[in-house]
Amino acid sequence: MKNFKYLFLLFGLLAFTACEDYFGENSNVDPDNPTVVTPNVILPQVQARLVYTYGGDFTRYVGLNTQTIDGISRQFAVLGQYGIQGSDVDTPWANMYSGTMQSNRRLATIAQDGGFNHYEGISVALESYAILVVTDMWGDVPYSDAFKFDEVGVYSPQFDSQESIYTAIFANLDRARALLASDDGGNAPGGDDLIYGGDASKWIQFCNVLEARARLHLSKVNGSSAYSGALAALAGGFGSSSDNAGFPFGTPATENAPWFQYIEQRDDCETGATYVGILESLNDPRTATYGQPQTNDHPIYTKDQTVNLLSFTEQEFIKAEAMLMTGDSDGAYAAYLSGIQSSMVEALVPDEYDVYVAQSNVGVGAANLTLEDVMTQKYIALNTDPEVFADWRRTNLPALTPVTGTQIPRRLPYAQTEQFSNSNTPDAASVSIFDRVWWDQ
Amino acid sequence: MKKLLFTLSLVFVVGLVMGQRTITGVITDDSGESLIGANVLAEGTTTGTITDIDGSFSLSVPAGINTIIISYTGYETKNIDITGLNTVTITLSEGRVLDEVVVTALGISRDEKALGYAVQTVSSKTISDANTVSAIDALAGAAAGVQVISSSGAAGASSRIVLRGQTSFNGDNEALIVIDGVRMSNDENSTERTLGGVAYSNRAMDLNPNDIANVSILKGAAATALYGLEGARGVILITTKSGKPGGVKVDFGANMTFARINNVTGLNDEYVQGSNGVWAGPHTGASGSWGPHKDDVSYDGSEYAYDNNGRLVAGGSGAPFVPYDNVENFFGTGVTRSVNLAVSGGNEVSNYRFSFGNSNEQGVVPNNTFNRYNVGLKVGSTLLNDKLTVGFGANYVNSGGTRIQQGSNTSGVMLGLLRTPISFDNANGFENAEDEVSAYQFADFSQRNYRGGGGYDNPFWIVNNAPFNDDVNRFFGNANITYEFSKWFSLNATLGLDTYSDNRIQRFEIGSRTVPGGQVIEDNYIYSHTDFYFTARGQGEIAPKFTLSYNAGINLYNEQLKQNYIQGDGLNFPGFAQLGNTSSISSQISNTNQKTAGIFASVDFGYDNFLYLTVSGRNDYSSTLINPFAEFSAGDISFFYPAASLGIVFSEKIDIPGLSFGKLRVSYAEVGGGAPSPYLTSTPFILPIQNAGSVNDVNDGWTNGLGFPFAGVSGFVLNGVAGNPVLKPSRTKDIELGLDLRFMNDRIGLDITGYSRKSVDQIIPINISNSTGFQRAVVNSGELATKGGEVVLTLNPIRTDKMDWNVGFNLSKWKTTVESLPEGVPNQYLDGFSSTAAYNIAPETDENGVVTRTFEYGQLLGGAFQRVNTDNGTFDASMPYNPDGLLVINNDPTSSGYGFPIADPTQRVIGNPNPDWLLGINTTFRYDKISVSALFDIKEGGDIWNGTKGALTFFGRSELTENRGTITVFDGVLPDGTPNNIAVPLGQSWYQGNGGGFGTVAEHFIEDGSFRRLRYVTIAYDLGDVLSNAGFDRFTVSFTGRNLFLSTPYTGFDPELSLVGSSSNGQGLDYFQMPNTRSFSIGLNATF
Repeated sequence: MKNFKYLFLLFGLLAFTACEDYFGENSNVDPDNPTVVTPNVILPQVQARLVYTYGGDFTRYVGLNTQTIDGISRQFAVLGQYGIQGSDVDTPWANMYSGTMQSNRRLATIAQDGGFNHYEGISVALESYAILVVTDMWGDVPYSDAFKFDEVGVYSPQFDSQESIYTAIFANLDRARALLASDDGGNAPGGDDLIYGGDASKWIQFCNVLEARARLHLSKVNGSSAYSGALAALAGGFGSSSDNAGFPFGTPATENAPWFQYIEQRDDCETGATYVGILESLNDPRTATYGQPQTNDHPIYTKDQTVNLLSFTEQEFIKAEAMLMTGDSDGAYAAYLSGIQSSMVEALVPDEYDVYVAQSNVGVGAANLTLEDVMTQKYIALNTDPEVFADWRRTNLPALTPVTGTQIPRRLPYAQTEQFSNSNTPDAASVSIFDRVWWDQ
Repeated sequence: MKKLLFTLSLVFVVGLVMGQRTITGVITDDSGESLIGANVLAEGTTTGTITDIDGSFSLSVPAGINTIIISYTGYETKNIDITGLNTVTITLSEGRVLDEVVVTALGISRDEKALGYAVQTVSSKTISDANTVSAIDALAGAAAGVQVISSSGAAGASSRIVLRGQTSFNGDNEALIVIDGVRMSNDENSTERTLGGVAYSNRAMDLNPNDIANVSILKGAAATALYGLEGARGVILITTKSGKPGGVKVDFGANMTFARINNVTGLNDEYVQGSNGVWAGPHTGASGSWGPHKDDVSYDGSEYAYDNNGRLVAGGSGAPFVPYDNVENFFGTGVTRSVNLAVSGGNEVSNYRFSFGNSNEQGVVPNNTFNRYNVGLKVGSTLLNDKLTVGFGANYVNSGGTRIQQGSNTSGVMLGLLRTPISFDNANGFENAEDEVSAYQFADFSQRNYRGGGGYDNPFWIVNNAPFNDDVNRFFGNANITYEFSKWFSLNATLGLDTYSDNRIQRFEIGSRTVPGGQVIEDNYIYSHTDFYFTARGQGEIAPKFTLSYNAGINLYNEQLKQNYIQGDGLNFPGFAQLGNTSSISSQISNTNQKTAGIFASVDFGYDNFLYLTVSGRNDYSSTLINPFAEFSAGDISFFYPAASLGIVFSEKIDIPGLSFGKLRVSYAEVGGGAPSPYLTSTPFILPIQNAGSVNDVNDGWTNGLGFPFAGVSGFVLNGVAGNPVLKPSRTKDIELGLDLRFMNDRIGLDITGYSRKSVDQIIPINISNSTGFQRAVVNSGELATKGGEVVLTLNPIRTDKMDWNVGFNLSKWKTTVESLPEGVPNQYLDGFSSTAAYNIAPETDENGVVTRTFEYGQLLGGAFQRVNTDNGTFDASMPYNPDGLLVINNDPTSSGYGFPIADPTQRVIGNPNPDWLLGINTTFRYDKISVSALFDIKEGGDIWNGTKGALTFFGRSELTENRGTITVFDGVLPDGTPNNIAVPLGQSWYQGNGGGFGTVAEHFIEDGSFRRLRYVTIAYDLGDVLSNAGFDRFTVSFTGRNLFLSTPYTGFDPELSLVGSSSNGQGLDYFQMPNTRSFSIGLNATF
């Protein structure tokens, strides 16, 4: 029995002294993925994912509603009949909250800890953009309670009213501008800022144009103050299209633009018949580009297409609408023409501008300019930009006929993953895709 | 030496009493071969010996003992009455299920009757009769409580083996595989996402079935507690064949198998390509078969790139239209060739066995191959007067093949094949189109497919231009040494090593629909683990009639996996699919390491062959629980768990007429465990590469998306899976009760087992609300409960020298339910599609928090139709789904859905993929030299989402759509509850909406996956006598047919398949995976 004692002694040794040696210091640390990173590697991912989602999934899901695109085959044949369901939007929902905004929050935290004001300002500006897109698509969404999981373990964030989210966005934009106007803390973005190359002044313009977009969205609930607010913000807007918040996709296979990839890999959609019809009714030279069928030699949907988060063109149409609605028809008309001209450049038909605006149904003159003229031109110019969906909901322009039934959807259904895992999500049965969001009432 | 052994035998027999007598004898097997090392025990005593190299023994039997017990691993145990005898000759038969010595945890052989828990043994004969390339497939139906699900009929595809249901929400639920005392990796590494890609092997595929001597299936936690948490999933304990003392013995086997697909899904054979009844040819890119009826069209004979007969025109004036049978043209005859050679032998000191095996499988899908070479060597020696035993086993395996794209991806061959209309010939008229480039490709390199180059790849294009090759080089083996100081104390050290490299290349030539620009993925895995045991053992009699044995030791387990993944996108020019020819390269390296240290002890008490009690405990330390942000403390990663089992052989004390053996078993065990994988305690940043199939991918649901570095800059995303730094161990608690009865001299055996198991404090990454900022979070709660039972009935109606007939029934039933999910989490995603997926669903509770309904594991959740679910005959969205309720029909005349069923806005539980019960009926019949064995396998219940049919319905390709044009009144009610009376036409618009698989509703594609199948029949004839002059001891010719008969209500391919592979917990999903096969084979086995 003496042997037994030695044996148990051996076990005891192993258990209480050798354990730490056996497991070592880095026994449960992933050697390949860092837990601490610097701002310059977070920013590019946030921008890329935001733009890929905005210029990809969102353009398609709301483009079906605005009839800028049509669903032709497979799943999009069903979606085109307003058959969208929660599971269809799981990916963009996850992309916005998890891949974009959560990483972006981390960027802001790291930047704040280091006093890197420009990084933090850009981060706050991007978050404002992202949550604006999200609330415009879905209405009431989690925001004040979101991104608190790793700090306080919130599993089921509350849904905030859209109104409160708008309030937060305007406050955030003030903060972003202040941060961007202060010093960079010795660590400024450069080539890692794929949109502006680290130019803080352009990010301030971005904040201004974004504020104008958001103010304008409130035209139904705020009336003329929406327009004056937008115009006030645009005092510091883009000077030209060279200030566009454009994200350059590339020709390498891992950098191709979302629409190029969609046509190449799926090709279940087609340029909207309604959209093409409007182009043709105006004898619009952009028919040769924006109006073309979706093929992989499409003049616009190239591998290295630059997708804009905000553009000078959009700004000019915001201006045109706001001025028109506040009685400045001369200013409105100038902005209207400026928007058309800028769009013609983007649509690769700059030389056709003069002939086009000479048409009586385009160059209507300041006195005859109507909201319909402005919104129709904006609809054409923004093409697949999801902003068109907000415009249509606000103005009901251009007038659209439902593809099926009597109504056109006015929001996206809540993601199925959110319905399944967040008990605060409104029931699928209680919110229909035909229900209006707060600012659309 | 013989004398020495004889003397040793005498020495072994200690504690002789006065009045003893000596009995001598010889023990042989059925073929007359002497059995060396067989146990001979005087009944009711610890007096025993073992046979020498001639199979002889001599035993001094105490007075008054008139029975000796002869046992030998893998053979039947016999009780021999020696009243009045001095010499006996005893023949033991191999592979009896009744009464035997079984291998239990840590490789310890024990008399089955001494066990307080259920163990079932599968013999090498059963495995060879099943005649499968994968040893796991051979276990299907062979034992109770075992479920084997094949991922696909493709060559080399993995098979999933689950014992007694699930213990983990989403960790590994497959049984642990242990070979000769040490663990064997059974991972399935996925290069691409599980829903698409190819059918991979899992690493149990590397086993050579011919090396297996027997398989012990340890099901309950009491049987497996010494293996830790991994053992809680059940253990497949494999003992490999050893050499036996005697002359050199050569075993040779050769086998040839021919396979065809066994079951075809119902397809539309009536309507051609087009839309709304009008023909639209391939050049239009039309996706569906919604064209005219085949009798209403003929060929115009014009020049047409897509058909040699020209275009189709309405009317019958041209050359008659004859439908193409693309399915028949595509699948070939699969051929598997296997060769096995083993040389074994030994003497009284040492034994050896050397084996070689090769299986070469060509699948039914062209160019799909799987090839495996096995080389094994097993050596054992007994030295120093039998005190020292050393042994080692070493196995080298080379396996791999060429795999073909399947499942949910536009390059999957089934996707393109089944959607192809009857009016398009994928083969372009060629007999062997896979060898004819002009069948699937035009001169300008563009694809010749039914959608004019869009849509899906021509299957013949894919089998030539998107090969996935894997090449596994593996070494596994063990070395062990035992020194016996006394019968009370021996020390054993065993080291197991398992290491492999798996080099994979997935190529996509330019022009596929999935990656049009071409792609090359080099994906290499380097795996190794060591599994070390150091144990002390002993046994003996502590008092008259009281026996005791114990083992105690330590176990160190260390596992490392390194993956080097390099993806090149965009080929610069066609015909050279190599990384160097790609325009952008991204790579990802991942290392996962984990360690476990365990201390264990187990003590067995026996009283008078009547009562057996085993008590054991194990304490583990797991690296997966280490919190990297806190000071290391051994106590934080430590957990202890006990087990106890009791066997009462009541037939020893109570004499019941006709009952030859009766035992009651009862056991309780707990098993603790660490996290299912390392690094779940932190949340790192990840560099997303393109389309990696991870939550961190930068893409949308439709495209491949982006990869970093992007434009020369790096980019990291905070992992979408939130880690949990403070993890406590998970626990499984298991109670098992069993009754083992044998009647009529063991000719009838009935073994009934019931068990109840709870798994609590699960550590799992669970899907959470994305608005938290994360898509999943590692949680440490939740509970699964399993209740189940097994009945094993064995009959031996005929047992004579010439004739032997055995029938066995293995009936199993279990139900694993989700008792709780983490607070506030209603569902946990397992696998599947956004429209229909497998989920674990939290119990429903009433307003007081009382559970009103629980759900079984892995429910299918998807879209449903509105069905009457209230007492007043209407539908209420807030009420539970009523699958049997009448459909609610749209009565809004302005709606496009007027007259059709209305979709329920809420996702519902529409299917349960778990079977109600499984029954395997096996039989072996031997008459002289002929033997017949067969396995009939029944699965009752278990829903499958027939996503293949759903999609084919959308495209007008399923048989269902042949009823287009029918005017029907749906059997249902209008929203107000009155009967529906609206007549509507069934057709393209309905089937492309909710009537098909791409609409919002999936419930009509949930089908019953029950089956009755004749899994195999093997007929063997032994020509050994005839050929004995030529030197053969045995020469067996055998014929095997597999899957000869299948009866199922399922309308798709074989309901046994699973799209998602062996490692996924989301079962019951069918979406364009490869079909299953029926095969015939001829084999010969010779021994000389």
